[in-house]
Amino acid sequence: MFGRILFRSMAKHKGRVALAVVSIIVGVSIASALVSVSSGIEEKIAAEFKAYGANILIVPKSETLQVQIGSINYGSVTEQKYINESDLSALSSLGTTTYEGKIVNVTDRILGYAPYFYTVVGIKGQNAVFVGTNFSSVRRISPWWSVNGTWANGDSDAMIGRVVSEKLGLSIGDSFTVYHNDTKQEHSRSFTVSGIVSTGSSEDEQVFANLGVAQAIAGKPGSISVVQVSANCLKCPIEVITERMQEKLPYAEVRSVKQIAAAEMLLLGKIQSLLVLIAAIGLAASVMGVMSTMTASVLERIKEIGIMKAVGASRKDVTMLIGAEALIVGAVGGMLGYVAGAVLASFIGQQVFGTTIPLNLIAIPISGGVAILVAIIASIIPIRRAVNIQPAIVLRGE
Amino acid sequence: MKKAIEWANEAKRAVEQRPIITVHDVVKKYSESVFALNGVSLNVKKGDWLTIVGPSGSGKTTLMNMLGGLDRPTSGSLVVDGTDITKLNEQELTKFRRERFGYIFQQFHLVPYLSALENAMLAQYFKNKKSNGQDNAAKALETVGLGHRLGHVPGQLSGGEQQRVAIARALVNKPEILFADEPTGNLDQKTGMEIMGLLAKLNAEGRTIVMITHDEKIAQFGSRMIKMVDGKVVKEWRKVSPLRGL
Ligand SMILES: Nc1ncnc2c1ncn2[C@@H]1O[C@H](COP(=O)(O)OP(=O)(O)O)[C@@H](O)[C@H]1O
Ligand SMILES: [Mg+2]
Repeated sequence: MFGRILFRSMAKHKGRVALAVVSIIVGVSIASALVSVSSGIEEKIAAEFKAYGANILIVPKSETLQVQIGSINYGSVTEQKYINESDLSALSSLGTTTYEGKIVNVTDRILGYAPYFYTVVGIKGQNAVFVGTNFSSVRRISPWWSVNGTWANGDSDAMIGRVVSEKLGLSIGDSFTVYHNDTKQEHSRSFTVSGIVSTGSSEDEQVFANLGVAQAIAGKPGSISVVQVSANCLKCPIEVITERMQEKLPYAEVRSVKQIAAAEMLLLGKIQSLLVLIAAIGLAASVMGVMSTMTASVLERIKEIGIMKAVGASRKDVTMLIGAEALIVGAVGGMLGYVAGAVLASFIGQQVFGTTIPLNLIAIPISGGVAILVAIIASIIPIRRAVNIQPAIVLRGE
Repeated sequence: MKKAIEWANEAKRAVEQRPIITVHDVVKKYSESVFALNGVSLNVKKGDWLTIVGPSGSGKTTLMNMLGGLDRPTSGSLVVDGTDITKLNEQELTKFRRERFGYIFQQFHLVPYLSALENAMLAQYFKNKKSNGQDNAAKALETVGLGHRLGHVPGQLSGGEQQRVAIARALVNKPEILFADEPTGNLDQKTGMEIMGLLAKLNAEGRTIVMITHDEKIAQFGSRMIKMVDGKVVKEWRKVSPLRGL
């Protein structure tokens, strides 16, 4: 019977119901589109940020070198010119920390890290910086490296910088051997050039091989000179991450490339607060729209409601009838609003940001929830009016 | 034969001569200057058929709304079957109303988008959400002679038919007291008489009726009559019955 009353009355007042649904669609589509755009550009910036590369550097503490006073070397106590390779596993288990009362999963923020070991070698009678690293890690955190040929893979593969290649006359497929300047030994292994690197920066003057091979040449197994870390830190102060790393690697120095992060964070924050403001205005307009149509609908139905109260409907009955209508309006408006919002988001993405906004599945429950919330808030006043209708006044003979 | 039935009813009434409604000094002020009721006291006995007459604006509807718990008096007491309904809160009053009272209005006041059957079911639905009530409502419509119009909405029914639906709705919860505000006011004379016949039957079955009317002929159906003027009861009659005449 409840369903019959509800649906018959909604069918009778289709126009108003449709108007209320449209109000919800407008508000929810604007809100969900802006949320999608906002999270879309956040992802975009995160991706660009990642492409930008490492934003944290871990180097051995250099103070050790300055602790030398006179002939006494105090530095020997803390001296550690390398980071122990075995300690790097700590970077994969940084755990969580709290920042401003929120739990931050620091481990999840680490997009990748690449260890580097530097040593100087002689190749064809000339000095060159020989760098041992982990190529798959480099590819992850330094995607801008442009490589002619292929990335190095096996222990006998090497990649050489563009400048080195010109200076030494080495091209892809050529082989060379290295003479280690410190140990004064010609290394037995012969390397084959698999690719030529050009980055427009120091890499162009370096020679790259697998980490273990470079460490072996220098006779320093397990030693790391520098670690580059790429962390996703758009909305957290990067200190949250660096402090955590510093705790795990107390003998090293963890530095952040803070400025980049801060600038991006600031801009994104501004755009997002603007979007949130517009979304809030949209939802407020939606509440007003639904409230006015529902109030009009209650006024139009004063008589029916009065009759129902006269024949025994309680306040709760009236509240449920109108509340159920609001919930249906909210649910339908929310679903359609989500669809309209997805269309709107892709339009805004194309027109304003020149990028495609990915379909955001989380927006479905959010749109639904927001729509129902809007409907409930909007129906408070109309429901009050309805429950306070006095049957005696409504039923007065005219 | 007819006389025998009347006698039997009179006898029954004599047994049931305790008041079911006791009104004491009821005042209803709509504003500082408008006194719709100006100190009304009266009794309605179980099985009575009280008709209220009086000029337009004399407070008849206001009095009935007070008696029927549709509105509250400014002062005074209204005791129905031992309960002072002016002391009930809204929830209790709603419950009291739907369990004991049925209403019939001049304008019928059916819900326009519900069928005859659904309109009749309405009162029962609000009383007890779990019962389906369809059989009861259909039976009530049968009683008022509308068994063949269950699926029609008010717009498809004549005035007389709509009033029958309203009566069926009023009856469905088997109320002790029926309130009727000018039930024939919107009906032609013939249809009006049919409706009165229906009410007479219900009264004969022992139901108390409080009815407002303009029409003197209609007023004759009651067992008791009061006349109101300016919010006061100015005159009161009891129909002289054969039994009492002896
Ligand atoms: N809701 C109301 N607000 C203000 N005045 C009212 C209201 N209802 C009735 N009245 C006034 O109270 C008086 C009695 O009205 P009513 O009981 O409807 O009379 P009747 O039914 O005898 O025609 C009239 O003067 C009417 O104008
Ligand atoms: Mg009246």
